[in-house]
Amino acid sequence: MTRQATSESVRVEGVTKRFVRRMGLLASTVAHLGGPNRDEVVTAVDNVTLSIPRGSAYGLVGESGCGKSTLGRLAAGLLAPSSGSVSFDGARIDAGATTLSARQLLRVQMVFQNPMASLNPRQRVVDIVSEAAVYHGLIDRKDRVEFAVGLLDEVGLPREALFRLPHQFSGGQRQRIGIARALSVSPDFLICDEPIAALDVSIQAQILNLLLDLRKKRGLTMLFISHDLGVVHYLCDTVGVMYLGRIVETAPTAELFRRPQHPYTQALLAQIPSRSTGRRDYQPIVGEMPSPLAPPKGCHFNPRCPSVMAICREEAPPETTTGTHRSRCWLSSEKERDLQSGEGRYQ
Amino acid sequence: MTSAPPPLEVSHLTTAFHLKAGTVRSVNDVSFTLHRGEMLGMVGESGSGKSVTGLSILRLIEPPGRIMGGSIRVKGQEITSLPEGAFRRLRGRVVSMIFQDPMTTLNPVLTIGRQFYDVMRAQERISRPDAMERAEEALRQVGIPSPRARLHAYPHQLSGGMRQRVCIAIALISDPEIVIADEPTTALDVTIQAQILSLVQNLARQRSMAMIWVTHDLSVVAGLCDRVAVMYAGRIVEMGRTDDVLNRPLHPYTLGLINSIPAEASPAERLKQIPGGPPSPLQLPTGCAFAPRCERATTACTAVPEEREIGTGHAVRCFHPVGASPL
Repeated sequence: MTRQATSESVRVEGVTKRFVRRMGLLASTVAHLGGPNRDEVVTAVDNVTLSIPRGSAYGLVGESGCGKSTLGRLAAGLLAPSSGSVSFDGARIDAGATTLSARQLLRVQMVFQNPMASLNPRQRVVDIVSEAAVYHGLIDRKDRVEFAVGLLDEVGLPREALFRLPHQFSGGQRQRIGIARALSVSPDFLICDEPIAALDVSIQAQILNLLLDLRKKRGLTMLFISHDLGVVHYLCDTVGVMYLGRIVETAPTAELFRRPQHPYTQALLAQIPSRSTGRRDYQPIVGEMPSPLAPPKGCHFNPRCPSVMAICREEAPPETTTGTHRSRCWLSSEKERDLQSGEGRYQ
Repeated sequence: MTSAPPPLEVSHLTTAFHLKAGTVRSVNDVSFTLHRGEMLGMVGESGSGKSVTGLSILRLIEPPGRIMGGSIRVKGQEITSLPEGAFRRLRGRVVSMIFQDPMTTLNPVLTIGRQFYDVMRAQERISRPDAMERAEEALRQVGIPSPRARLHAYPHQLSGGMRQRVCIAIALISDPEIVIADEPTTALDVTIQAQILSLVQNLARQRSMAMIWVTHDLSVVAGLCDRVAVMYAGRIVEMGRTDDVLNRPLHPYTLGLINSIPAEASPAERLKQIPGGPPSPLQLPTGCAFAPRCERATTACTAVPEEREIGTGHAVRCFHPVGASPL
């Protein structure tokens, strides 16, 4: 595979994360005596490769348990991958790397879903947003109030917020504080894990506008994790759809919404309720996401797929590329093969 | 036409919570009628009073909360003044409720079957085997695979979607005529949400149940409801047929909510956001509670706007409705 142009800045390369729950004492003794090994292994992220060009936003969508948050934490260096690597401008930033410079790590910051749980309830706003910058010597301790005022202004909070505690703010305001904290060390790469999921509709719009403005102003590269396709459609240049640890489809946003290739993406898109469609009958896809402890053989989506074929139950589909559109589905690879051999009647 | 009374008539309902810091009128002078077989959406943000309206109808308001005034008539019968014992015969059999979070609704230490049995015993005399048979059938109707085995399962052994199906089956076990669903799909994933919406839609049609669907999600309302009521700070600010309200909104707040939906906006263009946040329920602005956030507000808005009808069955509480000439 040819490496993409020089504009590429974030590169997630073959990243896998496995969580293992070891057997209890009794079971491991039995295993020693020749019994079965019953460590429980969850492959939360399964050999994921993706790249995000400088200054662009990548939207990672999927349902709960698909591994999108784990992937976010791997990219942020909060979790060490079981294998694979994450790099930013060529330098490793994943927690598995042996040589990490603080300078490099500060370029990557994260905004979390629940601003109440991710802010220290006993810290005043001025400390929350200036602590990291002071610690890393980016600013002088005596300048921190002025520094904090600047940040608060940037995220739309008044000066009066400085000496208050997180509980004195509404959900939307807390999320602004979380964003200010992430920006305090001037990152180039911002990872947002469901930053608006816990907020009311009118407040969601305010935070989305803020993120949009900040992205333009600071030229941020973004990984935006969400379960909401509508939000991703609005904010992101590229979308990756994740299902049970694997990215099943990636394409530029408009292309993905216009021509979804993977049956899972198609189902997700068909089920976004929309104001404009009017009253309708829901035709949901059947079943639920299988347990990640025992993922189905072959394509992970096969038990729920309306167009399942024999091969889907046997072998995981390879990635097929059509232009800027990549997907992992046997339907697309069959199409491609037929096209190549001239037998296909597909368009 | 000698019409039977509608399943539910709420008029001038006011429910308040008396707190140390003051009195909060969570539901303030709310009136609406729910017709037979109708699906009414009740939309609003947190604290708008939509859930408290639902809880008031089931008389599930506990101190320091209290229904302060107004009337709730179920099939013509006033229920606010009924003794609790008499209302208990209606709750579950005539009016029932589906809650948001199935994990906290179900008792974690009882089997699914036992929870069905308890609900049925509260309503009628029934033997355990009969109850189990009906429970099994109810589980089958909500699409739970191998229902017999599930009767012996505990809630934690089921997925979120399956738990919500169980809650729906329990709520509908006595064939109620009115069901209030309080954000039943909010905690669920997109594909599971679609399954539950489809299930409820079919069940409601088969049994011609009247439903109130409480939600913060306008797009769910668009797909599901015949009519919609939009709530803000305890009042219904706009009500009408779903198509009218969503495509020709009258209240500036409704318009603001619609403009806040990112899926409908052109990518990377700023959303037309509503400025500010909802007012503190302890210090509501005098007059129209939305006025401080409203770009159309004038001095007239320091009075509470009366509800007025603009177009058939489309009512609004606003002095300066969108798309209409000012008063």
